[in-house]
Amino acid sequence: MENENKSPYSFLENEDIQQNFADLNISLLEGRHIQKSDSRIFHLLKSYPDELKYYYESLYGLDLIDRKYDDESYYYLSFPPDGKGNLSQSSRHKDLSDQNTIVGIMLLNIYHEKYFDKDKEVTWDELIKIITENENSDMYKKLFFNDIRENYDYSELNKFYEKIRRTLKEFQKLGWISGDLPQISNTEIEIQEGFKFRINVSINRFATLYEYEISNFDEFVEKYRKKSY
Amino acid sequence: MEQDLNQIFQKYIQLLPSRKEGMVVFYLNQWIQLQEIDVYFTRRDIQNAIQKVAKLDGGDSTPQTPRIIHQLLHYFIEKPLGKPQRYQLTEYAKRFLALVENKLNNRLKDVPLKKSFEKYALFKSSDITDIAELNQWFEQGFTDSGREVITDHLEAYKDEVSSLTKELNAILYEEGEDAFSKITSFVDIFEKIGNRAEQIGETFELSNSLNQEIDNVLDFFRQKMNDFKNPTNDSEQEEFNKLKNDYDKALQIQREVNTFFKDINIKFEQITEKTRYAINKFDDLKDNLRYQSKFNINTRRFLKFMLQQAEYSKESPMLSSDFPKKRIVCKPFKFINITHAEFLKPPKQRVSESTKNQVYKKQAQDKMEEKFVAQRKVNKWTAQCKQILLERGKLDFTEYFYLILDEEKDIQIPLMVSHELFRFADNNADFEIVIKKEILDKFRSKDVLTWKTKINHHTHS
Repeated sequence: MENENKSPYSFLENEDIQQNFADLNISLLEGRHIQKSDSRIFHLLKSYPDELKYYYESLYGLDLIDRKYDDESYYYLSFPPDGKGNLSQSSRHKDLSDQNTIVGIMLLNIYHEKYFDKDKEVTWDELIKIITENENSDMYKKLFFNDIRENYDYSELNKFYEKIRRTLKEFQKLGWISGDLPQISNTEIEIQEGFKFRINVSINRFATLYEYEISNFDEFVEKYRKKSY
Repeated sequence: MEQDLNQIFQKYIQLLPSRKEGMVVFYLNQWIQLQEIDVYFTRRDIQNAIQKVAKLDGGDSTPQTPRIIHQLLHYFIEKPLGKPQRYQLTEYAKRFLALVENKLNNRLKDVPLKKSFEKYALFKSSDITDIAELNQWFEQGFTDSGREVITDHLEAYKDEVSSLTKELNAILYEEGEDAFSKITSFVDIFEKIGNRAEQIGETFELSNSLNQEIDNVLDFFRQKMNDFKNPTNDSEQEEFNKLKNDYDKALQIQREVNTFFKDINIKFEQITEKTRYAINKFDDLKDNLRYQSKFNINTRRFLKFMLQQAEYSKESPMLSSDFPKKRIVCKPFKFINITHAEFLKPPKQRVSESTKNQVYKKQAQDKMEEKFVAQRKVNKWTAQCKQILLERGKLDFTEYFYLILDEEKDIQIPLMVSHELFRFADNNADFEIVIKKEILDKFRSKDVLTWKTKINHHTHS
């Protein structure tokens, strides 16, 4: 009987919510994908899944999505299938830039290429190897250096790092990766030694965003070529 | 040490061959093993090897035979005595070949670890009677055999896990039924890796017995030292020092053995953790291999297709406008930080308890006490002088000055009394101060000299 009269927002009065809700709310609305490493706010999502889902649906018109991959959960806010909820204004959502899309799909591939590896880590040497020795390396070289060669000098690598770092910083904020991304420096060694990031389970958000294109790849390409996508 | 490194730097290119030079050595060695060429080979044999290596490299570049032979002649090939026009591999070259061979195909990885460890690294403490025997076990039994065999097994374990992970990752990109047929072969590999992990684990258990034996040896050396009576002469002192050195050496050996097992255990756990993860993922995959494989292949194809739809731009790569773009929730928050203004609220005044310096406190108290005593004396003498002035109408202060000085033994007292009296006389018109610039003979021997001074009362009857 008592429960029937209870407000669906009464959980906001609980002590753990009072202490950490501001961080959780800001992180989610800023687009962060929350996973185990975000310990305190992740714990709130685990503790109040239904209450929080109701909260975001009723007050913001957004879906709080709970996904699981590799036995690891991650959470994020998403627009309902029929619109963009109360964040429909352009200042309240973000179109992924072309470079972010390219790097995101690239990292999604690396994550799954390391399916059996416990640590999904990427070092500077590995990143350069992917760009210069991978089956797609000619395309990567053309896209990032505008020139297909065997080697690039430090100034060219520095410019590449500057571009890629910008995207990786954004990804770090969104929770898709975590790690160390040193400032642009005078020597490649400093980047080489300091640069290392881990691809988080939430990189699979790209698999969700491009679910149709990946699952129905042949159909998608056919439609795309006919410009009927 | 710095000099050694400089020397290595200077000779590095000759000590470590380039890929082409190294491969020539490998070819020559292989042909010698197969008895296709003589141990004392010819320049023609070297040229053939160089040609072979050039073909491996695509055969585009012209082999620079004289330069390669010149380089190899530094450390890898030499001209044997009494064999003109012939060459042979140096001992350094043979060790280099063995090093590479050992890394690729570890010679000790198939030696049963537990048995080797029991044979070489374990010992009975009762067999050790002096430090030389313990040292011999440590250098030959432990360092050269036991430690090497464990390290080699661990390296082999690491290489196997790394190679297995790569192979497993690759099967997810196999099309159709190939993946299913391949996956069954991994069961054998897992079993092999599991056996090696088990052997290493069992050897760690043996290390406990080893520790116990080392403890016993340590007790033995400690006891010998404790039983020795207090040295009373140089010879006894020397003997005692030797026992102590033996004990210290045994302690050092124990530390090194413990550190080795501690390090190796951490590495073992890290590799085992990776293996455990791969095995769990393998178990998961049995149920969803078809889905995961299709997903991986399609994601790779999608990436390739996307890259084909992109082009270079100075700022960042650009995708074709037809390519599907996605959006995510993002409402950036701005926080305005107002600096805390101190003036709105006066800073709290706090009484802080000062720390007490007892020595200083005592010194200050003594000084004050001294001043009070001096002041009391000045007051007493001043009052006495004034009384005389009032009673007699005059005062020979010169007499009193020396009287006070003789009694108090402190020049400050008569000076302060004179200051008080002069101030008193000066402020009172009835009194007159008479100072004559002469020094009375009877006081000439004093350390302090003063003019003849009198104070008179005008109206005194």
